[in-house]
Amino acid sequence: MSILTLLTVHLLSPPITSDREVAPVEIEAPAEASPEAAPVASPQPQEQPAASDATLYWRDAPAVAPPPAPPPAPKPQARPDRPIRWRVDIMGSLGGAVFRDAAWRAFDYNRSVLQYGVTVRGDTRLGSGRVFLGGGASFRRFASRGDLYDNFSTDILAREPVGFIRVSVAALEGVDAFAQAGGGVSIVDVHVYSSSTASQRAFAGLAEGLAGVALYLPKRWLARRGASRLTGGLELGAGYTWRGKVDVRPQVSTDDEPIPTSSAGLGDLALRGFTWRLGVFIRFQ
Amino acid sequence: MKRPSILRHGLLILLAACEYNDPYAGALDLLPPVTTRDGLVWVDRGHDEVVFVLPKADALTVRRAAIGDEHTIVAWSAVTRDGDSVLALTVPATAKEEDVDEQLHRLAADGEGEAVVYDVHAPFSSVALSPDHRRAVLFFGEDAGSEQLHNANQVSIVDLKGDRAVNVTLNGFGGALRSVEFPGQLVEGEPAPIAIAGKAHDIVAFLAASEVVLLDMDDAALDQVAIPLGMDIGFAPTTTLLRPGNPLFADPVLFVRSGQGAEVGMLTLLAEADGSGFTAQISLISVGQSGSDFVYHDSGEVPYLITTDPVAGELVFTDIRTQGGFSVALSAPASQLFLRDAEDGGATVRQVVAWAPGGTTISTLDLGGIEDSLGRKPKHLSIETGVDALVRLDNDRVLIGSSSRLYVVDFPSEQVTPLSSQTPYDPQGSALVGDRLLLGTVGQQWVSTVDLQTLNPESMLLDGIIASFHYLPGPKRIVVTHADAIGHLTVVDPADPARSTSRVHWGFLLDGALDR
Repeated sequence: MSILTLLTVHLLSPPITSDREVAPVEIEAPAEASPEAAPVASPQPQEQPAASDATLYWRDAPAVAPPPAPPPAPKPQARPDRPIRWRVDIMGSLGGAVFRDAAWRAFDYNRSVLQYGVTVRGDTRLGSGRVFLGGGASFRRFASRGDLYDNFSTDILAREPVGFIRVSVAALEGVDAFAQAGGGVSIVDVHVYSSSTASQRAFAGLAEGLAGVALYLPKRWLARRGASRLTGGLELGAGYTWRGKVDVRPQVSTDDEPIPTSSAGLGDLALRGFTWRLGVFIRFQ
Repeated sequence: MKRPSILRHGLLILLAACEYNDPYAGALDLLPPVTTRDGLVWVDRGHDEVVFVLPKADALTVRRAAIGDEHTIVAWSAVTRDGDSVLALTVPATAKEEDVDEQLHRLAADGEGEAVVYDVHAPFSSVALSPDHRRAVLFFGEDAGSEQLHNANQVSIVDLKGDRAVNVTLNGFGGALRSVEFPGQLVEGEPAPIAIAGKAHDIVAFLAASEVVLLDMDDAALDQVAIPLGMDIGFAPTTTLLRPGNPLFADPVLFVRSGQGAEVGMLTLLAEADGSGFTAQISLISVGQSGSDFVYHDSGEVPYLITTDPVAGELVFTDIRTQGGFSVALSAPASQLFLRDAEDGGATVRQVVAWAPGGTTISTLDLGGIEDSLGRKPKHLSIETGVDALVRLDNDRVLIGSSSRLYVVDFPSEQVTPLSSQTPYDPQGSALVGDRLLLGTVGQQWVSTVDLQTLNPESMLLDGIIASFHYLPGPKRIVVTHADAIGHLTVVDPADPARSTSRVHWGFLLDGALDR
């Protein structure tokens, strides 16, 4: 939330000074006329405003030197528009997955699970068209607890580093439609609790495809308009995630120097199914 | 017009996808494991399943078989005496279930193949298995279950080699059935019909309060012989003993011992005059002040019934022809008897051994020429700390559990060898395999073996407390279970009980749970 707030303040506040820009300065009239205070460029003669009746009255007053004309405000240095040639996003996301495998019910009371993660990605415009091509990496996790036959407790934690390629089409600035495909590994930790505790770490391959839309602030809505280098927005995506089957065979914890111990295989767990996510990102472009 | 149909089908598919169907709902409700020849079998009443756990080498094979359905529940399970089959009785799950028949299921002990299902029509609470492995008799025992009204004398005779069960109501005299015995079957696994006037009868004895009902299970008509034994004298049949006919006494005799009183019932089995069946001639034999155990013995020309009188502390010899007899004082308490062969001057003679739970003496009396040896004195072996349990190892030796000691008694040498133990001997936690005694007392963490030839004990520390002890004659392995509902056991090689050669298996009751 704080990131979002900072982003909003940043985007709607005047741009900051940078090495390539001159910040506009509000000029006040000097207290005394000073030819030296005048800018190097000689000011253009200023046409006096039409005198009011009061002014006319003061014509008869003792003559005083007219105040020197204020120096003209310096003209802001022109900032050139920056065409969007590349983009780099940092995104935090929250989403869900729905697993069809009934074995998942051993670890949760329903089929869906909440997952969250962080993504770094970049893309570049192909030619001068609307299409961007890029890729990135993300890390996400999901966890759950469940019961087996009301006798035993279970929990599961999955951590997933994923790499992907991504194609976006900027239908209009501020709205991207995208599709991405990626792969990675699912690192799954399983625990089963009875009178003893058994645990397992398994690795499963992962592949997924996502499509969706990203909405972000177009440059024209930003304070620096075409020169803006930073924007942000929301992304909604959905797709399918396939993971290799996990042979669930947790090893029971034992004391030192145990009798050779075998743990039973509980079966296969296929964490596959529909997935969706809602992300908030900031974009450097 | 297509659209509503598509919409409806779509909604149905969506509802099906969202259906809350938890395959892991409901707790495991496990009956205690029973031991088959090759493994252990649990019945999960919560999920209508029988789980077969078969240890082999370092691996464990787990098989499952469905039993009953959501309208039924397994009341009990048992293993046939040959260890090859598991019996389980399904009854209505609740009293609100109607039109659900009670059925006995016979499943192969390896968990494979189809179960044989018998309609037995009553929620019997007990089962008696014939030693010849051919039949099971279901009956209501002392625990009649929760039936609102049941026929206490209803039984079902189940053919374990086929698929037939016959329901019978005993035609007694009002006494409720208490136990079932197969008196003629003295050798395990061998049919032993009783020959009555040259005709074989496979007789089962139903012991009820103050009466006995005999029935020939090979008789298609299942004619019954009901014998009242004296309600007025408080005769309560508890045990039977069959004496086959021989030249000394031609007709087979079924002795019936009472839990109280000073008489033994003597039922002489005779053929019906029309040859259609058999009948019994009743007489009561007085055996002193009480008779707590009995054996029969032919000495010379006299067929004796030998009983022990724990009140008088003597053995009572009764000639079953004349019902006359004599007694031999034991000078030590004795309530239990058995016979063995002993060497006497190069000849083999029968010897009676008498002992009493809690007693400190084992008495032996040679029976050679006992009819002419009035005044013969018994010999005594002292068990210092008292006898808690006695197990016959073979003809010459017995094992005695006594508090935290074990004694091996060798009768020929009259030696008593004590073995110290950390825990009291528990017959339920032991097995005798050849000359090796295997011990695994519930609640302890040790498995021990004793070589009964060398009396060399070995013990092995387990990784868990013993919940139950089993010996599997098929793979020749000790299996001890530990208290974990997920399934936790240790397999031990009794020939080499060591931690390095043992194997612990955990979680087998959930084996493949995620694939179901």
